[in-house]
Amino acid sequence: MSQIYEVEDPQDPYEPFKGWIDIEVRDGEGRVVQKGRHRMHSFNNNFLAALLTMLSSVGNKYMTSGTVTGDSGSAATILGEYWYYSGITGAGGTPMALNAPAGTDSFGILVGSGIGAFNLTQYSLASKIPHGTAAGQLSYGTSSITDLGVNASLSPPVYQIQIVRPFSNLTASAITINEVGLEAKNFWRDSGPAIKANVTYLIARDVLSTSYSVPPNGSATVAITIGVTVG
Amino acid sequence: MKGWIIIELDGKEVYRGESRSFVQNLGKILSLMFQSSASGSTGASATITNTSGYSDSIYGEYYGGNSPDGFAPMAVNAPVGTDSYGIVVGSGSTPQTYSDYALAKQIKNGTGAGQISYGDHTTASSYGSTSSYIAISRTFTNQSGSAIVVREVGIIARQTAVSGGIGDVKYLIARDVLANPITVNNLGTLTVTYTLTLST
Repeated sequence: MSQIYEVEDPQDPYEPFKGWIDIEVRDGEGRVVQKGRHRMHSFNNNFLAALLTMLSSVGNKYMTSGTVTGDSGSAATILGEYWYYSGITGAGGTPMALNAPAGTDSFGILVGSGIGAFNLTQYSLASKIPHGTAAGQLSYGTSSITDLGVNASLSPPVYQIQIVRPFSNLTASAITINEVGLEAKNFWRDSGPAIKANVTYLIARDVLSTSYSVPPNGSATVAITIGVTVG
Repeated sequence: MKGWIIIELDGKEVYRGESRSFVQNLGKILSLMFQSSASGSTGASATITNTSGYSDSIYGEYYGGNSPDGFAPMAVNAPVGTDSYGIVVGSGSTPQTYSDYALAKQIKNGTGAGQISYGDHTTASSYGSTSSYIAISRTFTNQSGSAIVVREVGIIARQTAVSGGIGDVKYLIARDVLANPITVNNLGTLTVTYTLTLST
């Protein structure tokens, strides 16, 4: 899935953040058996709260914190900055990581079988398909995130970032994907070693208008192209 | 999602428009954050043009090695009197482009001729199941003795990726040229609010 997709919305070209979800399903022989494209409608309250936490940072403060709803449903404290002036080294972190490694289903692109309607307060997929090879599980692959830069051919121009993750069905039965989510990780520490924040939190969820059935030994590749309108 | 700019002059709303203002630097920093793996190791960097017009590096995941150290990827909450980051205002009217790295002509903090006093920032938020918003505001007071005309507003972010006290980058993430200039009379106040809204 190396195609560069245009991210635009003719109904609201100036929407500041937008995106598309592309899904391609292949059978065990590598043949494409289903593919589709869906407009994202799904950024949630956690996304806004995380942005506000970052913007509220000063740039040289011990900690600036905010609150999101973690994927367990409980309020969780995230950081927008972490500083240490003396005595402690290794201070730092990241506020909204999506680059999950293979085998990790706690952040990055997640898939599920739920069909419950989206609302802004949601903090998890309705029914996440967990990583694994047992019945009802999919093997989560390595994320790849590509900075596509500004697509100036669009009007207005859009800065595009593409996140791709493959999912393999190593079970004996087909598995149906109905929902796709983006879960971020807020992680901050020093070399104390002391973990100051380690929170995974859903920032987007979309219920797909089409179900995707991943056959045994088949795979699904999900690509989310996020656009930031820049002009 | 929608972005809005709301401007109040002496407490009265004089401008409300859809924000069409983000520049490519915002895409770069978000991309770097997304590319992070939260592994505890410093991640990739990207080159941006800082507000002085020079190339600089920014990160989405960073850990210092020498005290003092720390990381703030996209700080905007500048204190009173600081005009190097936060919400800023200017008198330039050059049309916005995605490659902008500074206001066309920023009005500096101060009480001298052509200057305006930069206030503190405030934030607001409301989170519901069908509609939500976040907002960040800054008030500017004209103590220069003469009227000042504001034609552009913007947001400058500050990234401190610091090890041993080194690493402080100011980079523009938004700039809007106003459809109509706003005149701030002597002793007048101007409040600029950026808002992001979500609805289902």
